[in-house]
Amino acid sequence: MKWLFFHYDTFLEFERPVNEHQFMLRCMPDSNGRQRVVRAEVSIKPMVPISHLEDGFGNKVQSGCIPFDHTSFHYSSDGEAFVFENNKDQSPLNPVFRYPSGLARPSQKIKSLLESMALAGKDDTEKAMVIMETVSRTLEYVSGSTDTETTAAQAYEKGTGVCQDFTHLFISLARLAGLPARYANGLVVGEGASHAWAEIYSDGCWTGYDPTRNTLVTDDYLRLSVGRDFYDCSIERGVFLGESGQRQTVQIKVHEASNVQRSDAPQQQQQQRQG
Amino acid sequence: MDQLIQHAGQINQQLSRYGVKFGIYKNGVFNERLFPFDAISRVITQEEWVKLEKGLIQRVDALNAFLRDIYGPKKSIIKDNVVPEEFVYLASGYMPECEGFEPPGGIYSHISGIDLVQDKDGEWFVLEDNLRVPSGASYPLIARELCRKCSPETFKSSRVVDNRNYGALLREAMSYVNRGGINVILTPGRYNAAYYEHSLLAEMSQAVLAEASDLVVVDNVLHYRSYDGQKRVGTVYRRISDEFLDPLYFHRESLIGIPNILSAYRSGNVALVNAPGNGVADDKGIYYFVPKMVKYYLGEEPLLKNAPTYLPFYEKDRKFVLENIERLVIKDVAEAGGYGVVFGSSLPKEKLLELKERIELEPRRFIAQEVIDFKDLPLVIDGETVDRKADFRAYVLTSAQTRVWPSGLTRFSTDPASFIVNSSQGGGFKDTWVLY
Repeated sequence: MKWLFFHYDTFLEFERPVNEHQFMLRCMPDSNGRQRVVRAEVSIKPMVPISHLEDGFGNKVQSGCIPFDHTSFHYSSDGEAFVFENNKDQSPLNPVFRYPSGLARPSQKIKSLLESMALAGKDDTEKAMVIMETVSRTLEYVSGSTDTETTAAQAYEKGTGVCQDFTHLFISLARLAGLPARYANGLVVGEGASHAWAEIYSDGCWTGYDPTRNTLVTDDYLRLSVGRDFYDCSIERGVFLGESGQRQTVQIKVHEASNVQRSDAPQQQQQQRQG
Repeated sequence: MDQLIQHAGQINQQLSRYGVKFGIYKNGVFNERLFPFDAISRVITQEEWVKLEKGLIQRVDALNAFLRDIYGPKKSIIKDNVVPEEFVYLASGYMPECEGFEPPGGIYSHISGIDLVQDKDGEWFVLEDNLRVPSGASYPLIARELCRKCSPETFKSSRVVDNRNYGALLREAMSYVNRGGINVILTPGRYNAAYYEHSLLAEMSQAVLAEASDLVVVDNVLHYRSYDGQKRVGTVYRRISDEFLDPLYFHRESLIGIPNILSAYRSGNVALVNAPGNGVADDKGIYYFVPKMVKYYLGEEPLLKNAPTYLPFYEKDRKFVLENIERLVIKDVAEAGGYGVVFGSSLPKEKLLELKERIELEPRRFIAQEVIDFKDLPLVIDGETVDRKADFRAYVLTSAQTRVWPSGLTRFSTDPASFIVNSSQGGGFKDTWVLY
């Protein structure tokens, strides 16, 4: 078990003032079988009231509206959580995770890829391990090679991607193989960007697999949200009035309580991307 | 009735003046056309109506129970193997965004449009449930109004139940679930083909007619912006589909939605009429299971029948469908780009073989139905009375209790060979008289 301190911070700058800015955030971890959140705060600038609710997947959502002209939007979440070593979450299975979803829909080629794997006679865990190994071998990690709209099929076609694409391909294959699978979004110790991985439901609980790193999820991983694919888990979504370009700066710090290390070199990106 | 037939021309002129039109998409092009009115009403006797009414109430109550069950934590109808899981989760109208929240009063479908046909023996069959945004109630309302003006004697001498209570029923459906504030009808705007209906219903139910740009969520509460300030909104009867309701949850590029309205709804601060996610219950594949829902949730025998339907998903049915495909109607339930509705009898041999292969390959994707020999209704074409196929949409409204509006929309096809009485296929409508 690890005692993690986390700080997630995003600064959005607009070229021209925008107004009536409706936002929806999924930047707060929640307590569940694999992690216990002991302190978590969200703050935003400009200061407007934040409403807290849960989405259809049980994720914590923070919503609100900035009803006046502003040229920047700053949101951050900060807190502490214990992450357990067992890598098990007993939250119930929504059967929707057995079926294809938008960004993780299998193509004919993905179906053929599954058929090429020797899964017969293997149990769920073994199957998931084979799929994970295959995905990590099949895709090459090239940052910036895909975008937030890239599907599993497109990434497979290209042969490259980032964590989101590795996870989509893994989920797509796992569901085809009969394993209920969901997308997980979160933070990892020592990483300066958010990370995506997958969870497989078997024997009454969810187990985390990280196809990007070809490893089972450990107590270094703090989960923010789950969903069918990236689309259900976006950390921030917004709609505003006004035409303006925007620039985003993300800072993430996750470290163990006993081992205070800082990796706060700011990253500048046009669009929010994940590790 | 003869009096009315003489006035049919005038009534149609009035309808076109009022802009009572129907908008249809054909080959990707949007067309508006007038919806011709035929003056010979469909007449439903009191005895027949009482039976129909009971069956409709039972069906809608079961459908609401199904939606509560599916989006609630239990999902017992799946666990008890009454409805196979894939029919729920592969239905394009199932929305996981609606899980884990029960709408006010536990009501999902406040306004249901149930489409029925009557066979030659007079027995009613349900063809389709419409639980999302069923439209068309304004047609019989306006037609009755015009008929009353043209021929007041008709309604003095005939024992026709007054249908002017639709506004009151609608108002009650909205007010019953209201979370504090005004009732609003949300229209996509004046260029929408149903704009006339939206404005008429707003007037009749004393609700405010609003477009998305008039509505804004602030502090998780929905407000209506008018020239004299903001008013809190307690219920939205939205006449736009789920996908366009909230760009933060659904279509990101949507311009007609209201960002964060789903957050306000899920926080219990505003009621949405009908609830989002209802498409899972009026799905073509789920239709087969509706009589089973009546038994499962209400413990009653279903009073209304479905058209005899086979699910190739079940092996026994598949065998039957493949052997009898020439005399069945095949409907594709796929999410998008489906094959639509085909009559086995109309397909050439090679197409039939192709369809059979598809059914064997993806059995869940199809349902097959017996062709019902509808009872024809008389109508007047160029001064001659002829018989044509017609269907009937009943409007069922749920508040503290479920009630059926004693009227409805009778649609007919002008093509004598056609069994499809969809308004988008050509054809017109009649008033429906329920007798007392």
